[in-house]
Amino acid sequence: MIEHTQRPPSLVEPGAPAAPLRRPESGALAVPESLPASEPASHPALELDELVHQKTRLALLAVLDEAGRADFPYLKRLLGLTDGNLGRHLETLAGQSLIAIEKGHEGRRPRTWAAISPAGRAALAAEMDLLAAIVERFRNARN
Amino acid sequence: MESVSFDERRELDQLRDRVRATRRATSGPLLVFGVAITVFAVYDGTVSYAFVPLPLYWPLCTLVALLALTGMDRMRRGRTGVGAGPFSYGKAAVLLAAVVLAGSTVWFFPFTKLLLWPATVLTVLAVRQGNRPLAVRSGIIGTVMIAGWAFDGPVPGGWLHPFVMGAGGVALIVLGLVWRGRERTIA
Repeated sequence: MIEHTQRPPSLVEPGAPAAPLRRPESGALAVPESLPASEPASHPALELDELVHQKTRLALLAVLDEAGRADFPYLKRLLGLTDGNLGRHLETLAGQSLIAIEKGHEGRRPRTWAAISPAGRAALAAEMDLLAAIVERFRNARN
Repeated sequence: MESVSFDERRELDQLRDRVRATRRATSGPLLVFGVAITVFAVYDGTVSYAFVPLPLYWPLCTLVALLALTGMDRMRRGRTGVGAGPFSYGKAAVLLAAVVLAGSTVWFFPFTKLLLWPATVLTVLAVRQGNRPLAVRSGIIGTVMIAGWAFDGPVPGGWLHPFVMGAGGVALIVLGLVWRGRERTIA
């Protein structure tokens, strides 16, 4: 049996609710209302997809990208989430076809698996590229 | 919008490391292939009767090793709830079987005599899984292979051959055991 002795990373906030989100249209930029309409939306931060960028969902996608698929108790334990919170975030991701939820039985024991989809991998890769671009821009600005 | 800071990018990497450690993604292949190489070295150095012709050892042994890893992975998946990762051992076994079948139509015996097989399979696994520690350690058998090459032409020969390979196999086993201890800590 594997013991999880380390504290779950602070990336995930156990109590954080999964706010209902609408994904921006493909190619559309999530421009904040405070930005003047004439301002060119050139900063990579403005291109972040809020559905993927939310901390818990980003962590879930990263874990599923590495594992391929993982069951509900493992995700709950690894990320330090409650049943309800994990379920809501998984539903949000599944609603956008970024992951697939598979319910089955192992013997008499019900088991729920979450598996990342090709769209989920692509969304995560795009997010990581944007984050890398933001970091590079930040470093260039400092130097 | 909740933002992801630079530190949090590092935490994402740590999460990936924990998943990989739960899957024993580095130590598993190192141990299995380390044992296979050591057995080959003993077989080559001491056994006069060839139950399996040496040129066929690596294609067959690699397939068996990958299938063994698939079985272990499946058992672990049932216990821990973590999947097989982006490039499962089963997929690797199918790919290898295709290579063996395709290769059998042409003459490629020199490949089967060298440590090219385990080195290639481990490197392909490491690259497809994005597993840098495995890639670094699989370089050890690549180095042993090149050392053998340097000793005695394209195929390392003579009495030194089993010793060089045996040392490579034992090195992989030791590294696998060390890494397994680390995986237990970070999982």
